[in-house]
Amino acid sequence: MQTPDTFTLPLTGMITVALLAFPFISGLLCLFMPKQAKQVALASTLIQAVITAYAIYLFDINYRTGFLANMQGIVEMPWITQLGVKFFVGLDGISMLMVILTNFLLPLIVLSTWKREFKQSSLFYFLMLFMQSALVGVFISLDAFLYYIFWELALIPIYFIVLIWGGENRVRITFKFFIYTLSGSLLMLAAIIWLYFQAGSFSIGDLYNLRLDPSSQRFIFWAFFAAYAIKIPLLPFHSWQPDTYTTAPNAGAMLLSGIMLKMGIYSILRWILPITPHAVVAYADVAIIMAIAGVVYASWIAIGQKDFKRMIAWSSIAHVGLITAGVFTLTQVGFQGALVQMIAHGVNVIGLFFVAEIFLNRLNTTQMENLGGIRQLAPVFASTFMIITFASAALPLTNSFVGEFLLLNALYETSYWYAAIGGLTVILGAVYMLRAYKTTMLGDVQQVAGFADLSLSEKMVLFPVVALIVVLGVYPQFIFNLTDESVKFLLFQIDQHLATTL
Amino acid sequence: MYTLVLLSLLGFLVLFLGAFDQKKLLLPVALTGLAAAFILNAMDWGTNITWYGMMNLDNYAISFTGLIIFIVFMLLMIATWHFRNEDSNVADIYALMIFSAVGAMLMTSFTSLVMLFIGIEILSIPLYIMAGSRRMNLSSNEASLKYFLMGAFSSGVLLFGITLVFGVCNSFDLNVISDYVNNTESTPLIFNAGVMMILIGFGFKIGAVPFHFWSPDVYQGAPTLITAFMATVVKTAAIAAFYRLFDTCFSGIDGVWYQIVWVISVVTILLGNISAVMQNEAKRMLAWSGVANAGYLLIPIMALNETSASTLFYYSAAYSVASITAFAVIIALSGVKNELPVDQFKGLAKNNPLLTTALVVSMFSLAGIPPLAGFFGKYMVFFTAFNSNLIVAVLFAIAGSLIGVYYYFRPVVYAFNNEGQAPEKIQANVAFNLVIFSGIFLSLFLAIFQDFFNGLPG
Repeated sequence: MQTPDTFTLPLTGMITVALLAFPFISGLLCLFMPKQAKQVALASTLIQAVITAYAIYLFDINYRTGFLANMQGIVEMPWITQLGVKFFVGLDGISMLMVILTNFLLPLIVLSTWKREFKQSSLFYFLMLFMQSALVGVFISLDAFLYYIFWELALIPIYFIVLIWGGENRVRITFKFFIYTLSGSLLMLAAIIWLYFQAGSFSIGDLYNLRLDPSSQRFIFWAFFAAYAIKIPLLPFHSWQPDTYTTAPNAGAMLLSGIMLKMGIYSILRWILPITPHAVVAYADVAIIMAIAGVVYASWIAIGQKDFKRMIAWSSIAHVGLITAGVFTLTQVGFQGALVQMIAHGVNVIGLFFVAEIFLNRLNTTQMENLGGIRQLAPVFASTFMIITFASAALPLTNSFVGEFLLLNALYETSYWYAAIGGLTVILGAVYMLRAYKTTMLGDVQQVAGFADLSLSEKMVLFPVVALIVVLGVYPQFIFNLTDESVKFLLFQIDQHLATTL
Repeated sequence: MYTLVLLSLLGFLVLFLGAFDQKKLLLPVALTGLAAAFILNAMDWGTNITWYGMMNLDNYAISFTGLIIFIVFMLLMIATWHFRNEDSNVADIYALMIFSAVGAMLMTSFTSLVMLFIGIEILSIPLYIMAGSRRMNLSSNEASLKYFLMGAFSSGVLLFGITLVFGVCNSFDLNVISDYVNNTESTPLIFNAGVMMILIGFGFKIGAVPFHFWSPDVYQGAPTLITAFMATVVKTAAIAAFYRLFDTCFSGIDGVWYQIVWVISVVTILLGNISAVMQNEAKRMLAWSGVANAGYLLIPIMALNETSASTLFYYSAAYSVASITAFAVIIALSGVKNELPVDQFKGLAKNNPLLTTALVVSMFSLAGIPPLAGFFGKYMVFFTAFNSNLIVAVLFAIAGSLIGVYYYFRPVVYAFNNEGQAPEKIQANVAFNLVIFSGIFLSLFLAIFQDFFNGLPG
């Protein structure tokens, strides 16, 4: 992030395209080098992280194109002219943040599989890198049609990852997952086509300038929101999620909860809020109530879980519920809290799933009653897990604290009750997280005899996670700096829209 | 026109080569001939010549003809491997396929109802024989007879419709009929009845509900390669002819047939997809999927706007490519047998990565998952429908696509199921693998060249 008075190279479209294409190409390389697939995948994600770092360095917060705040690295090419579809990508602060989340977490996710020998591992790593490309694509698309393609594309690799390497009942569970998300997506597709006929273009700028009458905004809102509510997931649409997370291999669960569900929240910010603000204002309360009901309900269920992975799955619903509620407060604080918390949740959930992976590797179970007393045998592991637990429970000086504080603050300004009920997430979160820590780490050692402490590759996953927890907890300013312009522009866009119609 | 002559002569040549027992020459000659026909066809591009008031080689006709020749080429490549153990006269089948393609070509380029009827007959009669070409197989015979009876019946209805239209307009020429329709306040009942009967005739050919009931039995009973031919060439040619006729002649009286096509289309999509869910046999499942796809193809015909033609062309191309790939996988797996229960896909991924990729890509393309060709086909259908305000039909089509995911995914799920016995590695010849490769490639990348394809039918 440079200051305006220094002159360096601008962030060019080349880099955006590289961010998009590089993982996929190296994924193909994995397919052709089955013996070294793991190494290729790790190298590829690390290089991708370096490219991302370079992109951050070039990113100019104060860049002005007169188009979507500081959108830069734009590539715009015709693709299907008859249908008005373009290949149109670019990065603004929010996109950049999501790309950072994706590309910095992926090396950790690949490393988390280091100890495990998958059958057909080349296919596994190919799908993983393919997924990375699709996720980056979702976050940088500025053409609604292109965005839809990437949105659906992200579903295919994760479907196969769960189907081929998943646990019990995977056929039934993956199928439910696929149908559920696809039905939401198809509604969104219909809405996108309808929008095209109103605006005459799929470009995000034209869609933002569209002034629909409030009643059509409502239809468009629900068609989009259904897709996102399923993906996130919000309360009545969550039933695919716990099963899928539990049956997925841990790396798949990390992809799903760490990054993929952020697609939904990001998309609310990027696509529904500026295009249908009237409907958003009308239904914000409904959305917040759905989200907050999910917070309480999911936390409550999480307390009762016996399986560690399933508990993380439910806790994930609670955390993202709060993020969504924050987004629908339509305030600057709410947006910033949501952005910080998206990153924080991504980091924490990867840590938690990796803890589950370690249980599974060592003891072949994630049932909490079969664990206990691990702290005496593996102090380093126990300490890192402790920090991740604190972070999940949003204790001060951890990354979640900043995010949840801002989110609750924003909710409080909307309604006291929202904040009071949403705030339960912190209390209930502490209950189930500390209980999980107690049953697995403390107590007597009988069942976990011979539990080895962290190996090098495991440290290389958990230490960065811990570092990110603390660094983002102490210095979240980085995220605010990066996204400030985009958030302000988003609010400006919504206000302007609300002011010029009716 | 020269393409037509070349193809007819090629058919005879192949027949004679078979008669004189030159088995080695058969395929090289047939494939070279088809390639030459493809080039010859492409050379007519943009010329827009009308031959004797009977056929007009406009860009629409040329693009569909090119597609049909390409499909037949692919099918013959599969045949090189499929018929490797066949003793009987494969030359007959090759020749019949080529003759049938001649009929298909007439159906894309007619400007006279007589040519339409002759085209349909030339397309169909070889198919009756091909469907029964496994003479010792009971279900093959059943398929042939059923197809013949239904085909003859539908031809009869179509012909009756054509006579009624002729009776009112006093001409078979499409332009005359079109002028009549556009200059008449309200067309007489007898004319409308003729249009209805033509509609029913086409309904049989494309397999739209309620004229679809022959298709599952015939698809299952016929030799798999012939099934692939029916699912691709016949459907493409019939839908091309359907649109050509209704766009030129009957667009002025769409009030008469619009609602009926709407109902047929929606019911076809729903019934086709729902019935496909219940099938346990791969060919039967693809037959029902073909029925459902006929429903999607009817939507652009209802919409009748400037994107209809390119939508039909692109959708047919995407559907044909995916179907050929799927049938090729079925052929590879079923061996000498004529059918393949869906659970036979079990464990395919273990030893046959290429076939599995082909299966996944073709099934996903048929299911309309982005970014495969099938998705763009469906998308263009939705787009075209929205353009003409057919929003309710789109909602039904979306519901159909969702149901479709269930049965298209079943073979894929089985393929990655590692319990039990996995099929051995299947060794095919170069031509067969080339078809598989190009099938995968085209399904993946057709979308990138979409601008090119959309420009074709003009």
